[in-house]
Amino acid sequence: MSSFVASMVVVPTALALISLGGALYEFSVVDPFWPHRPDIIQPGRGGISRRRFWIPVHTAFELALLAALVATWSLPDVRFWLLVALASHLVMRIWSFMDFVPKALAFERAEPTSMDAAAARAWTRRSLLRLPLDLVTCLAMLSGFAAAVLVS
Amino acid sequence: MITGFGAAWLMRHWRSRVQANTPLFLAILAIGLMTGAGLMYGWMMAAALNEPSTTGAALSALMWPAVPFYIVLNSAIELLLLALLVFWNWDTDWRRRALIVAGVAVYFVMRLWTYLVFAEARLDIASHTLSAADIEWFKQTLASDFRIALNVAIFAFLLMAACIPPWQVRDESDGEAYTR
Repeated sequence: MSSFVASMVVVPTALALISLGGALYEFSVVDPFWPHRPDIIQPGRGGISRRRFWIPVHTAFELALLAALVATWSLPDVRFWLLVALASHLVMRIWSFMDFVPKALAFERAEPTSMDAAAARAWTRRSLLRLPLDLVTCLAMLSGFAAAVLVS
Repeated sequence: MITGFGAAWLMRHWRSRVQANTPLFLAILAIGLMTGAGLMYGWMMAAALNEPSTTGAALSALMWPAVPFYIVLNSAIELLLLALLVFWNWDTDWRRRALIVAGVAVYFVMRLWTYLVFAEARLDIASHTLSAADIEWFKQTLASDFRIALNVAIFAFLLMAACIPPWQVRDESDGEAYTR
């Protein structure tokens, strides 16, 4: 039972760290440059496709987190941290879905010459505000993992 | 070397579970971030390269900024974290130590592979707009670049090591082992 609990929590923890790594990479490598060069994030013009990373990583994390929550529901010390992670992740996802994703899709479809660079820079600046939520999710998952190992 | 000797000296004078777990926690964090970044880099670049409309200009614009990102992460891991991780976990449970040593060994294989095969050429092509020949070389090396698998293996070794408490102490009163 004990190693089962740890193994159920370790998967979403790993995925949360991978997600944070992707976010850091995007914030530090991609976002500072694409407002000047929109074709970088336009797959139709030979640029990169960010959804190719985010859709599988977020889906896998959410499924693994839900499975971990079900498996550890009877362990309050673990459950608390997983619920914190779920809450911060949900806030980030809902905010992204309602605000960031539609605008990102519009930037990906826009003509590079007619795209509003100031609006794109504003998007990247506001997008940075999602990083603290990712950090909270990650640290909560690590705390939940530590709690799961301690009860093992 | 200096980090290692410093860590060994501290190990003799101060031994605790926090000391063993802290570098492991930080290493898991660093390798996890590197795995996420590596996956994003690989998948995004592969998708871009498969586009018929791919131009060298769009790809090369993304190559140079990736260099400092990896230099910072790898330098922190190589210079500080791995020595602390190994020295401060050397006298822990043998299974935990074995997993950590395996993770560190695979990490150095990955770094060696990078230095021998990828580093020089990628630094070179990152400094100018990619030509058609550069894109072809990049496509070929991306197809045979399995470092992300090594990265995932290191990550798995360290996460498994974290599941094993550093020390098992035998409780004389009831004969059961417990961890401290």
